[in-house]
Amino acid sequence: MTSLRRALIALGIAGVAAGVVASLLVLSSDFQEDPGVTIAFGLAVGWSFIGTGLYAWWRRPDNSFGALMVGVGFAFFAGALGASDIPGVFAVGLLTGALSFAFLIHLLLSFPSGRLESRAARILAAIAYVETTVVQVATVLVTDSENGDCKCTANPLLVTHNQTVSDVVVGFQAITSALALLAMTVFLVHRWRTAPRPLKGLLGPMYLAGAVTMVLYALTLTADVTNFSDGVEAGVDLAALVTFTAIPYGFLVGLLRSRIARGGAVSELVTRVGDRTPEGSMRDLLADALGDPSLELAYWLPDREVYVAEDGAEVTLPEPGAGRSVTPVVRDGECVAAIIHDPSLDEEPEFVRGAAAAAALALESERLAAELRARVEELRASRGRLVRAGLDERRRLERDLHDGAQQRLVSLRLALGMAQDRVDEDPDMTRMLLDRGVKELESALAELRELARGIHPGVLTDHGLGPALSSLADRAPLPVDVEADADRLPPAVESAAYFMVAEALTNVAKYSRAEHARVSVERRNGHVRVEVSDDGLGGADANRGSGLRGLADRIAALDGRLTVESPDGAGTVVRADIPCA
Amino acid sequence: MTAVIVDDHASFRDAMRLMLELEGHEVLGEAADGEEGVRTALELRPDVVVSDVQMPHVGGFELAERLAAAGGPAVVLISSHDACDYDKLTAASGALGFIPKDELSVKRLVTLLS
Repeated sequence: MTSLRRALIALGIAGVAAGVVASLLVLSSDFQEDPGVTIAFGLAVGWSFIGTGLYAWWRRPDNSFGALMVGVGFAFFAGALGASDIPGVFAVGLLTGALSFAFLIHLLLSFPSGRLESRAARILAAIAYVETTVVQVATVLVTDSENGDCKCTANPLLVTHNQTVSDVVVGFQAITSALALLAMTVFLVHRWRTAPRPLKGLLGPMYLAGAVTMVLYALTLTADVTNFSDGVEAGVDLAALVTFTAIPYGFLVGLLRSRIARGGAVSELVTRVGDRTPEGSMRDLLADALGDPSLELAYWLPDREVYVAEDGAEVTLPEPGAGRSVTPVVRDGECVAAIIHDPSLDEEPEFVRGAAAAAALALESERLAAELRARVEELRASRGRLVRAGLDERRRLERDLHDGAQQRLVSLRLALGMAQDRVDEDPDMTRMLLDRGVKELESALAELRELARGIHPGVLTDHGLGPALSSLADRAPLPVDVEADADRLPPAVESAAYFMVAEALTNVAKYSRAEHARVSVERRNGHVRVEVSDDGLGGADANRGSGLRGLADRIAALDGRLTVESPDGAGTVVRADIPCA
Repeated sequence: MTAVIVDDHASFRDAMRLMLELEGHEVLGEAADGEEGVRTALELRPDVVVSDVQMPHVGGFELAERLAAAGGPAVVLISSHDACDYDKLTAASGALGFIPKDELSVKRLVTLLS
């Protein structure tokens, strides 16, 4: 038996005992009117709250709702001490007599989450506790119980017999409490009206009983001020006691209604998912079944390790406490999707999970469709970037050719023309002009060689990735180890791998302040993995700068993937995985 | 003949200067872009401004337009691109004419100026 279970059983026994003691106090009282009725209602209220509270506590130990309900029951029995003929016990009864209302109000305000979630709820709860403790003590100090309406035991805490003072203090408590109870009723009505549909079934019966109780008690509190007839006052008192007793049953009825409704909703969802037309949106079906129009679906793409919406756009799941809740949809132990929903549905996690399970198979196929759409979207975006990158590259080539080799050749043409004109009459000048021409030609050749390597290095075409990467490493301004197989790869893969390493090494030299870099090319499981790592500063961002982005597109065009790991202070690893049968 | 050479490639400016000076002409100044070229030409008032077409900031056509508007010296535009690419633009700019760089010679320049 768990310790919680033992504690709850002990509380149950204590509750039974408290009820018996309270009944004995009422029976033995010299001044209690209608002890039979009082005992019957007292036991009904106390035991109903304690019993229902213990059940709720057992079902949801992390929710304070059950404890508050038990608290209402015990506090209600404590109020029976006010039936005692012993002045000390009687005084304790007076002091604790109203405490059950504070617990009840706290309970209603925090139902069903067990938390006071809004500022208004916290303020109303605070008022209830002040009224039933601080103001209650003030009232007890001026209540002449022996000579008032009650003709009860003498109040040992009485400090003044002044009737005016007593009227002011008692009147203050009555009016402020009545106003607070009416505010509380307004709060409950508003909360019910704005609750999501599935929650309404759960809240309805308990809120109804609670709100009627609040109104009736507000009336009894103002009875002295409004001069009700005794008969009416007794009737209202009795009605309030009945509705008070009804509150825990309202909770049980709500629970039952909500379970039946939710069971029905899940069954209906199963049918509707089966009958769904291809155009029928799973989001709409789930939103309808869970009664949450704000519901969103996010499909998990395991390859990309991201969530996407139905249209394939990437979705970030809300953080805990961000006002939205997330329930994962799992099929065969693997995440298929996530349901992003109103936090009020957290009160019934089994319901959301049941709906998720009912929809899991259909969600799996929608996930595949979403994955396809995300892929199309990504392809469209990368195709656009590739076209733009191609245009940029052509512009750069034109500029490099125009500014470099072409200018050298133009100068050479001028030098040769001048030499040609002077070849007979001025051999020295001709030689000087030819020397000048040779220098221009050498510069032009060097620039053309560099340009050609940038377009596609000859060593890569002729000898493959290993020698081409070694040549790249030799030209790098820092020591670079290269580990690459001699096997040839498809030309497109070799080219993408070469330029990825070239760009990564350029970045290492420019930004990383690394002392050493390493390049490796490894074939495994039909993939080639190309990795460039360094011992530099880290903190590189793959999304910043067009160089890596362009490479990622180029690798994605081969169905590959580029990743960058660059924790601050721990170097950078740029890794490309490219399918290569 | 006096000239100002405007081109963003220093190696070409050197070759051009040498070519003009070997033929007994005087190069009064050089500039690396159109803005500087306009300023230098208006200040030094050569017989001709030999200017490249493609340059950063202010290109050869704008230089020709500005000098024509300011009553500056004659402008001959040069480029490593084909002449036919620039026929209409040259005519509209107010420049005296266009010579492709690979056909450039002092003789061609003098013919154009006369």
